[in-house]
Amino acid sequence: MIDPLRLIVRIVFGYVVVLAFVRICGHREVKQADLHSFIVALIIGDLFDDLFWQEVPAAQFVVAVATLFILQIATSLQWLHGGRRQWQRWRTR
Amino acid sequence: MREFASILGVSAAALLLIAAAVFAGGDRSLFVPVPEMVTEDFAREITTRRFDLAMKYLSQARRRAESPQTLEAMFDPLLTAVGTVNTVDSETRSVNEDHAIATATVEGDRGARSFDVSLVHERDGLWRIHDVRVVQ
Repeated sequence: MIDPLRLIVRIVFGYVVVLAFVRICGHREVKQADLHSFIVALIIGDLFDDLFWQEVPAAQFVVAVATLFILQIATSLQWLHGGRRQWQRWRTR
Repeated sequence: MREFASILGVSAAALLLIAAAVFAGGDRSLFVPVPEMVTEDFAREITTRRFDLAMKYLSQARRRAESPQTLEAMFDPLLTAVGTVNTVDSETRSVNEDHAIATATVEGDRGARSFDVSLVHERDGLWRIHDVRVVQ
């Protein structure tokens, strides 16, 4: 039986870590998200329950989420410098 | 570049917090999987016959003495007895500072079987299975 208090602490910990990463990435609203952000959100959404139900150590969760956000930033920068951001083309039309 | 440094900084801070809780604070159940979950995950790997993946749940000492083949030989009678596996459950029976005992129950089409495991808290802060006893 999982202790509810410990469950709450893990939920708050996961929320704070991911919120910090999202803020660092500069996304403040859903409308600022792109395809990469959507994919990262799907994968991280799947990682949360592993932390909550203690299927993985919290350290593995942090490393996995950090890796995803670093990849997301790197991919977004590569797309930006490659001029492949569709929404920017649409805005300048 | 500032974003990369910030993410690494937040990650380091979170890992330091976890390390402080586990190694300095003696945490055994908040930031690391509890014995019950380790036992259940081990049982799931066994029931799906992924004996090579089950090895990672064994303690260092036990891992040296076991192989996927010996695990298969140990659990084959149990898996044959229960038939197609429907559910896997586990329960912690006792926990103290560095040792725990848990029971995993495997329910299948032909009945249910249990096995007891004793776990040790290893130096890396994780609970791992040190001994397995299949209940006949």
